[in-house]
Amino acid sequence: MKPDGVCNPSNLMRQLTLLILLWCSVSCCLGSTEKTDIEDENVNNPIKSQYIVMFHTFTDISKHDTIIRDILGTSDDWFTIERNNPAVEHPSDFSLVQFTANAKKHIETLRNDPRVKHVARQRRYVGTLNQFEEDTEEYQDYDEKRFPNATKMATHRVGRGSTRFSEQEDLEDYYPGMRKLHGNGQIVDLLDATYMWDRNYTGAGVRVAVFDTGLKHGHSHFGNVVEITNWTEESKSYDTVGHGTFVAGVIGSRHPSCPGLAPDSEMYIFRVFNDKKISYTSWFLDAFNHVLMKEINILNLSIGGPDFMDRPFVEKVWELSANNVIVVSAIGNDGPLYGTLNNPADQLDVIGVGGLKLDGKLAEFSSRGMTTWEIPEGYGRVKPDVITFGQNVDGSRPDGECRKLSGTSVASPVVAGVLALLISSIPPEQRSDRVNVATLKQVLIEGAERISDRNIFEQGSGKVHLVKSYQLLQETKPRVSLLPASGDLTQCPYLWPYCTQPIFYTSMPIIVNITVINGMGVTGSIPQPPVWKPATHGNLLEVRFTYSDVLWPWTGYLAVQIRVSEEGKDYDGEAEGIVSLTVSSPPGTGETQDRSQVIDFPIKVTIVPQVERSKRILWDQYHSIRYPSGYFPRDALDQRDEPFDWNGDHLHTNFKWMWAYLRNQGYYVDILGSPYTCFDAKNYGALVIVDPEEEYFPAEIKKIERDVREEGLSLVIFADWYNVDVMKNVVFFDENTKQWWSPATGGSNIPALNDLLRPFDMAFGDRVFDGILKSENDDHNAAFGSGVTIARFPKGGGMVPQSLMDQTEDLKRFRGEFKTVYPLAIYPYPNTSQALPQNMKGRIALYGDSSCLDDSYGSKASCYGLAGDMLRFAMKGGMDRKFEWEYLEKEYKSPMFPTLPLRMEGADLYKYSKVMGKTATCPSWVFHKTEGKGDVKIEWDDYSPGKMTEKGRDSRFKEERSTRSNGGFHLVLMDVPPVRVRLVV
Amino acid sequence: MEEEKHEASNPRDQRGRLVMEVTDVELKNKCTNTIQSRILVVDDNGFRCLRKDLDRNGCCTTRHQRFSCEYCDLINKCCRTYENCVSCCLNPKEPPALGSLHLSRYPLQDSDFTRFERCQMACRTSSLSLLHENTYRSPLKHCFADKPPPLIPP
Repeated sequence: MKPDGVCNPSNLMRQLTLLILLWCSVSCCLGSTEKTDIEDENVNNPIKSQYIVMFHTFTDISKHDTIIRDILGTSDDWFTIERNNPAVEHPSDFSLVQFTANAKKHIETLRNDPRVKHVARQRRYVGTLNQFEEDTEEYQDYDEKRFPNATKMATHRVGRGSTRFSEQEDLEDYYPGMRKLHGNGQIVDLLDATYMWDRNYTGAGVRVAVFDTGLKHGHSHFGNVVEITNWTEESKSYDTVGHGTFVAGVIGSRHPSCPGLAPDSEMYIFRVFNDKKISYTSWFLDAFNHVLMKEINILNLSIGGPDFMDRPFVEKVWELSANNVIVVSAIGNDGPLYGTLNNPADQLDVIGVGGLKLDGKLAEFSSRGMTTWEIPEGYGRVKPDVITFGQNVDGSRPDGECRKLSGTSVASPVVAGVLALLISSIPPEQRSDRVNVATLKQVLIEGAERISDRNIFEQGSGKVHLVKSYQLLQETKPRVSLLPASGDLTQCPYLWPYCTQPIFYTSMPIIVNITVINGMGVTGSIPQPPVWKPATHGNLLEVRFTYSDVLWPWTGYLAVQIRVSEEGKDYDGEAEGIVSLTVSSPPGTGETQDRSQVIDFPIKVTIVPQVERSKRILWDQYHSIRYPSGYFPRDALDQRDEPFDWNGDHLHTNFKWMWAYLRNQGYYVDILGSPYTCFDAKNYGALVIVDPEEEYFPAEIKKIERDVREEGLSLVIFADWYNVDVMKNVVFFDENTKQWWSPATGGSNIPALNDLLRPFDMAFGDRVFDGILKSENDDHNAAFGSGVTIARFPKGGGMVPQSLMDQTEDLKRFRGEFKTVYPLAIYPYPNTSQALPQNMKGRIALYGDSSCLDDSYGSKASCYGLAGDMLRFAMKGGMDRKFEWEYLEKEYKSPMFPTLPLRMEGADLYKYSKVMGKTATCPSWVFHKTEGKGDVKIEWDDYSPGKMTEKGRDSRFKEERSTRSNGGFHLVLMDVPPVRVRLVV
Repeated sequence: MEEEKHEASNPRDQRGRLVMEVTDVELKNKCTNTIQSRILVVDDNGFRCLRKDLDRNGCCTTRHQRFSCEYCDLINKCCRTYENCVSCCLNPKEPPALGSLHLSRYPLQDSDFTRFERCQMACRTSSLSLLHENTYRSPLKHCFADKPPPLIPP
């Protein structure tokens, strides 16, 4: 089964058709480990750290920023963080500052200034704990002894079993001044459920299913449990975990101290997790079929995981929606990191629910968008759909008491309860006409209230408002709506990141991926292409569309691509217009005519005159591949709780801080979702390649050589670890899929990257190093977390030597020999005594690590300052002497790497690659060559499996093979404690 | 052996594919249908049609695809699409179907459901459809026999 359409950029965002299937778990963020004391920070180790600088007076944020600049002076080891919230319009008494070096010194300076009230560390949740993995202490010890390096990896679950609860345990995090809640019960009061109860809408006649850890028969809190079924391998249906009881309680409890929202709803309890909180897709499928048989109205899934390519599961959820079961699901607890949405909450047809604290502010743990199904060709959809209370919520306990629980697990049943109340407000005989998956999603979204300081990928449509949604439902007819409903892309922070960068002639088209919600029928279509109706200056915009062939079930997408036309080359200002589309559905029961509706989507963008090349960066998204479905391992090897790269590696997901940094430095950044042959080098100062996993088309390699030598394009590359032995070491057995998982490549695909660099006589090696790149005065240090070093570099270049720990052999204990290697190199080195090479108009800067730019490793050290230096070099050619540069009088060839790294034999990268053995299309439209030729095809013309590993075959390679045959490889495989292999029913 | 027997007893279409004989049963003029469908729909007369060809009573107006077993493996009673599975399963010549539900933890009582309901439920994917818990055993994943589809991995 190959991912049809993946390599074809003309199929922009046909996310519903690209399918390969697996499923994995990630760690569950359960606690807050937060450093409050800056004194404990190691200044030699520039922590990715943000501080709140409080002032004595309220004034414009920009004035505060000026004051900070005044105090600290202009320097690149700190920058202020843009605050994406409406409060930026109003006077404020603080600024957010991030330090890349010298934090301690700067903080002291700030504190000593009379204008500054105090400096405090910005709070961030960094703790992680995966419930599924902490089975018992014994396992841990056993694993530590056996595979000290790969404990977590070797035991990692990939299947639905890793589907985990989205909960946080009793976080007693009461905020000062919290309103003490009395009356009908906390959640009931917060959502004003008594408004519904007073009207006698209590959920009666609404069938609500809860998929969780079960419930005790005759639990005293419940009065209307119709059925409790067990789908696990264990022969019991009661809850030993507590999660299921709680979730059911939020919906249907009648206990006065922890009442649920819809006490009269008919509860159907499905136990789909066993005592060890393990589950399988097969259990879910059979249980889902039971849901269909019982004609359930609302299904709560306080569970999730990152694998949206588990096709049997995803398709079953579509089937539920198509049969008018409203699926409500927790968005995940992996916030505040972006790109952390969980499936099934990230599906178009599902209501994905994020979490709020009781004070109405967004919970840190709530997972952030955007969806990553559409990357790289397209752009993510809006998720979560709505947010509601999910921290310290009161609910039921198995023993009949009440307790508090936090997590999006808790927020999800709040919405399920709200929906049960809403449905019960419609007379039963009218429900089949007036209530469906789409209409309820519409009234929930449209009734929601936007919270003030959060963007659309954090809060979706905003905070659930039961009474407003009730009022909307009373009036609603079968109709179409859009999410978002309008696109004022100048509106900050709500439409972040759109509002943070204007567009201009020759910038890559921006994409707004709109969710179309069609209440007219389970299936529908957009019969004619949508139309762009320009308003003020809207004629300066060119707009194109891609959209779902069929809107099913109840939903579809419309992707609007916008770019500036040549006439807008010098325009500076806003441009507006309306996208108008028609949606139609087959006739309803008793009708003869198709249902049809026209709906408008207003758009407003900011245009600036064309930006000069030296301020423009092209970010390569195309050569990044993430989980799911392939095993693309994490980039910092000491992050043991998370084996996968699963956040999308996009500037608007886990490289969000990099986006903020680049914009703060004044760069304009385009994101390239197609091969290198699809952009015009003359437009950009630098192509930035961070953590690439993909192979390259031969045509790309040729084009980049020409672009750099003749067109003056510079390359800035952040690689990551690669080593075949290490890759074999991170192989693990997954109990759910009953398969061994072997990585498709390393942290980065170094052999492919070396192919790209070969024309320049540059290459990376394949030993894994870790440490810090130290600057001369220790004040501009850059982190280096499991990376590779330079193996080849041409004469005339400059490199920085650094003693780093070689962790290749002893990855397990993170011990190793220190060796002097070269993690950083630039070409040509700006040496005044040497003439610049004739055949090289562009520049190249290489660094062996990328995790130092990745928000996923937020608690670790960063390298933004270095990235800034490398970009300045790429654009202008100068390089500060912060590091001990060595000028290369002759070509460098590392004795450590007599031969260059090879691809791992038997790796399955080809299954996930958009390049290997494929033909890609280059959409000419994205780079302003509209005249004539149209889309250009790019062939992978010299692919043959033999060629891939034969290249540079040598003794090292033979060793690898013999290791395999003599059982070294198998030792890791066979030695997993048998107890971990669990029965799949 | 058994396969050969099947092949011998079943008629074939022009392209040599196995087909089921269509038997006339009384036609209803008010129908229930597979409401979930994306493009194709099956009504409880066993007709398979496009959604646009449903009349206001929920019955297919185009009546040339009855008990359609297109894209089905008639030996294992497994079909590529849900709608063909339901339509095929409705053929009165077929034994009353429970499919995988027969093996379900909460098995159905035969008498509780109409044949149409049974076929709708039997044809759904289930635990029996899976390989490695995350892929289908076969692209012919909708079955109305009480055994898993033969393994054809992706």
